[in-house]
Amino acid sequence: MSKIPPRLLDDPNAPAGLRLDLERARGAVDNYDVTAGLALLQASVSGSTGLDVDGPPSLSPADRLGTPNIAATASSTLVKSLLVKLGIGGSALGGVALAVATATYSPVPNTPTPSPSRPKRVVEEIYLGPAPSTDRPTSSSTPPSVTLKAGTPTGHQPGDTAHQVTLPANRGARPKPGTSEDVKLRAEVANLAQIKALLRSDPNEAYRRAEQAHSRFGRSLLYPEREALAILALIASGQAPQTRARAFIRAYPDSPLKARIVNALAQQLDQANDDKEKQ
Amino acid sequence: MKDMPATHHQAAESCSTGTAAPEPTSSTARIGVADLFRAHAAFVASFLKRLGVPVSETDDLVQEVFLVAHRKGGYVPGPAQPRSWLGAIAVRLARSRHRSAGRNRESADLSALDRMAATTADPMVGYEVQESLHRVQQALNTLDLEHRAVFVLYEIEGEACQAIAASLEVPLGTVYSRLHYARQRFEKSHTALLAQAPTPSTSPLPATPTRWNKGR
Repeated sequence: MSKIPPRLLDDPNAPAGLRLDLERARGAVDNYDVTAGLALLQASVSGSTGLDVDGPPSLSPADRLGTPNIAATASSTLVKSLLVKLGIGGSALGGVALAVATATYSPVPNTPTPSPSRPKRVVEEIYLGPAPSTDRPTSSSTPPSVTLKAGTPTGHQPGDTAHQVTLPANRGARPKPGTSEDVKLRAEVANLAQIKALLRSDPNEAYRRAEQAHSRFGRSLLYPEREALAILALIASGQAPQTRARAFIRAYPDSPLKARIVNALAQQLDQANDDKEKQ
Repeated sequence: MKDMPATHHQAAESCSTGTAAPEPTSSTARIGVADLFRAHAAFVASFLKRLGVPVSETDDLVQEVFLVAHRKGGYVPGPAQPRSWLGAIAVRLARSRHRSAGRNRESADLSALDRMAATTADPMVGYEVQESLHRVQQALNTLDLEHRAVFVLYEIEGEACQAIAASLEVPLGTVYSRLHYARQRFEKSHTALLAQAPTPSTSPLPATPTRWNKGR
């Protein structure tokens, strides 16, 4: 066979029904969510390094995690937290989560071990000291109900900002693939990846997107991670969301992101003290 | 037919009749994975479904395809076109998945095709398109992975056979023989499916009562 006949679609000798079906098959468009998929891919490829997927794949995932900063440290913890949550439910996103973990999680701590500096102790005392252990939720399966007080600058009015934070009862439950819940969860994961990617380059935009996502997704499965990123974005942009951080830590005392927030606040306090001394 | 190794040059010569020639490769600039994803992710998703990958695994496999593409450094213009190049990666991943699952041939989830057909505004046209897509997929299901991949890339996606050969890293003659066999088998299956169909696909109404014409 040295020559191939024309395509069936273009072959007048082919049955009309066959050509019509093939034509329809060619015209069928898959409703794949490219935006969400690309965000997941970017999270898988770049992880916490901010590398674009257009960049050359020259560095190993572990090598890419060399720069200690708020975004990087938050990313690793965030991914671990996500893995725990998605893993509990045997999520359909397991493969993606694994890829994210491969790209972002390094067994070697990628941040300098914070010394128990005075600012950190102060921050820990402020946020953790007086809180009695009985206030903490004892089981993640029991939806805790805590009162959050919005900090600055959430856009809420100081007088009327007390609102309930209730973890969803189905926290950890696995949405069936293809269902609206599954689509929503994927969109939420993609949104988190976008916020994470923006945290270092544009914390103001990261914060804005986190707030938008709060409005869109509400108190969803990944709300704590998004709230932590919002707080870290505020800190990275030079603000001191102490009230909000305190509320987060009290609401989610077992969150792996708690230490990151404390560290970030401590660094901020350190920096402020250094600036004062210089002056 | 004995497959003869064919260089890309030979392929370009012998595949000039009846097939679309690949675009000239004047630019050697790599295409990054982000651009590839934006342009071809939907194609990869539908291609995987046509290869028989279940809907529940399609999204993850799309990610894997582009992760592999990233590891390869993106697409470099050459005999393989972006779609056939990504399609070849998808075929390898699907084959690996089939092997791990212990399956040689897999039937695609027809509900996935319903979502593809659901974009039509007119419900009657949507019904017919859905029937067409089902028939095509059922006929594709009679093919094994290699034949199915070549058939879909050539007959449905419109890729040139030399691009397919370069992407799959097989001789051009192999593409021809696979295509020849796949066409025969596809046509036979499709004809049988059309004969079973209650009405010809060109009929404006299905013969069996449906929610649209029940009671008329």
